Amino acid sequence: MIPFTSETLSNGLTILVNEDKSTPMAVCNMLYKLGAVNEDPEITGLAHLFEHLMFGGTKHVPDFDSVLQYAGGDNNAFTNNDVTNYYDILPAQNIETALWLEADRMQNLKLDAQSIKVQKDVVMEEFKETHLNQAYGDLDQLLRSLAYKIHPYRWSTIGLSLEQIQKVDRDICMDFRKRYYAPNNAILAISGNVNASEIFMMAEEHFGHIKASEIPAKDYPQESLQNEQRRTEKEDDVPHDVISVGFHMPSRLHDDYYTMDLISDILANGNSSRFKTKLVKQAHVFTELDAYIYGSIDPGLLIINGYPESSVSLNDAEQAIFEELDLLANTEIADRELQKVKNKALSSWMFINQNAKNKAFHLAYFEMLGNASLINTEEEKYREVVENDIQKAAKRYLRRTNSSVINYKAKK
Amino acid sequence: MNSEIPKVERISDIDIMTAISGKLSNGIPVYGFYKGEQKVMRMDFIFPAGKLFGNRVFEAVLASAVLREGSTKSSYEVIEEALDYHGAFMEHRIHHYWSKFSYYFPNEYAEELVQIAAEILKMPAIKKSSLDFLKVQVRQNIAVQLEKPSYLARQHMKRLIWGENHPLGYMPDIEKLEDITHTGLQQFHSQHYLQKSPVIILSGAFPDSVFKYLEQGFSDLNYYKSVVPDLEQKIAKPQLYRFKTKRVFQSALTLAKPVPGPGEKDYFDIKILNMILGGYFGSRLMKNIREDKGYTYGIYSQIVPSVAGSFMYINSEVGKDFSESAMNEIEKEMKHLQTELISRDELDMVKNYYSGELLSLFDGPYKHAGVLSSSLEFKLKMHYYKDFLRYMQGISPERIQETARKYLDFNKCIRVVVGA
Repeated sequence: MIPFTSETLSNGLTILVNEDKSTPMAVCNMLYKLGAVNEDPEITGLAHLFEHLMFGGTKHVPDFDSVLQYAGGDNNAFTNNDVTNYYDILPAQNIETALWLEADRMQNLKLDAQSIKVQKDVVMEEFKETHLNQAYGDLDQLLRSLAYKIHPYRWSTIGLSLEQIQKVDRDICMDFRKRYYAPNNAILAISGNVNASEIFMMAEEHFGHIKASEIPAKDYPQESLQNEQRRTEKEDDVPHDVISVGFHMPSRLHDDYYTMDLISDILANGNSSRFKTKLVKQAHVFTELDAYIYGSIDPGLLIINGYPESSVSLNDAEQAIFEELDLLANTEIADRELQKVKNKALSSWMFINQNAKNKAFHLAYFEMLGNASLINTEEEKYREVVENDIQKAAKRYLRRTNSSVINYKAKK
Repeated sequence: MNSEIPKVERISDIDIMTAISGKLSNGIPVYGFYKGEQKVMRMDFIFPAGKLFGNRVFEAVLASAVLREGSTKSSYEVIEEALDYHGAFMEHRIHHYWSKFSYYFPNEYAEELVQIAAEILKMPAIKKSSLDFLKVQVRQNIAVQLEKPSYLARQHMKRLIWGENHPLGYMPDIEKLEDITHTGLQQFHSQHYLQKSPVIILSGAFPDSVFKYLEQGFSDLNYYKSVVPDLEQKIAKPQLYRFKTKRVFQSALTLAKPVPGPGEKDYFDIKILNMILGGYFGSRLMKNIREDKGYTYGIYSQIVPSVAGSFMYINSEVGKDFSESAMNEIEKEMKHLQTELISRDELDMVKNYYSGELLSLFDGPYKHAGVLSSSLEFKLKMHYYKDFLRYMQGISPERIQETARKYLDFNKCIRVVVGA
């Protein structure tokens, strides 16, 4: 159970506080309800670039990091399809510095030409480092393009190309900021050795006067149901073949979400999982085989990635995967196996939430989904999944006609 | 809003938990950091079976991997199913001296987990077939890693620092995998896992009964002290070494230089100097090479302490046209620290930041366990960190400059560039 209290300011900023006296630190997590999904298809990668720009300084401070570091703190941020999330961790007695900094950059961010140029360069280096200069760096984008025809999940957070990032200018950034970086589009969550009522007072003092903005309504097309298999092949100078298969799955709040999460665990989480024991260790069809879900808010994907053993063809490897998926769909899972993946999921959840940083993020994230108290119903939702749910979901979602397959071939 | 930044409180001290400490009847040390509202715990088994040991390349690493492929009593599947069923996670880390197995699990399963851990660590099956498949996986993994300029840079650097024939200096030569046999690994296991004492560290909400289970599970091991092997190190001439790669978009840079290690003279000073140079986001290297020039997504310096010899490293991946310029800027920053005194403001910043980092280093029982396990090989007490905090808060700009003059000679660094 993660206890917390909450308040919402008149400008729409929601504040959540979890008091944790067992740590000397405090975490300030600012989540903005925007991600790659909100981008213009001609200017993808902007949400992520803007995340970088948020560190570029305001009219009050030359840069974000040095003020936080002076308070003994550290920070990080990430952007994904749905959110842009910033967290600051520092000695609890200095939490006000973090609040002040987040309020400052929410309203006073300096977006000058020099700052934009440098961050564009940095992001382009990041693009090269992670997507161009690495074997299989474009695998994620290839799969997205195949699985999503019109939904914005069809592009990676980093953006579709260096050229699009290059196009970004000051006007584009100012417009983006006006639309999305406002208190009513944000959630502030604090976890650590703090006092909730003091936090609410500080939040009112620093954020209270920031004006709300008119946030554009979500205006993008939903993907229609896929009803035939999609395939693509790529050949590149990589050391091994790789196969990647993506299946459409329901949204974060759908009942089947938890079932699909457990399915990905049954398949590949832990060394006793089906893929790892049967297809890797025993039959040596793959040297590595993984399954995971996007965890996205809109309907995401369940993805299977595998490195076939060098004497195994991509076709045979694919066959082996689908055989296992058919088995899951046609034979009811044993009680013990289902209990096993539940135990692991619950244990994992317990460990993750011992950490103030994760608690703060989860509070904000669940608030974005509708209510922060959903953080305390997660365990029950996993417990509720029964054997029959697994079979039904496997039948419904793990079909060939719902799959997108990438054959990533090594040039001989 | 108030346009004035809130006042900052300096960290004057860090609270370090005192470990519960005891011994099994055969002398194996057991330490414990108890804390926990949540009913979960961690158990670390730290064996002196790291990369320094063993007669062959890959031996120590493969030994630690093959341990997890089933015991003489139970198959791999049975053991892994038991671990997963009890909600347990296993992490393994291998360093120069230590090979550490960490188990995370709900504390209600302490008895089962100690039994499983004892079986894995004391009675591994080490079969030829398991080893053969492991080798396939290792070969595959190395082939992918060799594509990465940063990986190549690190491997070349290891060879230049330690020498080709030193266990830490070898290049990942896939042919050498063939020299490893399952009987050789059985011997390695017997010599380094069974005949030398591990250290056991518990953290989290561990029940009292776990000591009894550990006694049942591990008191039959012999307790012999381990000795650091005396190995010949062949360090290369400090200069620039260039290597080609087909990955053309970025080049990887790495620099290395020997520095004092924990407990040695000037260690505190070099740690602080390292922080200023490249230890955090606001460092000299980051401010110049990332924020000002945009050459890279990240550049850091770090000190890697080891009983085999401690080194300072600088690592970065830069746009392909920038490797020479980036090297020049690194040299400039080192010189700068030698020729100009750091300002009081910047030094205060570093002191505050570093204090926060130290506070975070001791944030919770698992972090304490981590600090203890990395202090063991240097025979340092954890309260050493309090001394460090005090020293750091009192250090002067003059002392920083002195340390830079003594240790930050760019031309004494081995420099590696891996690029097109």
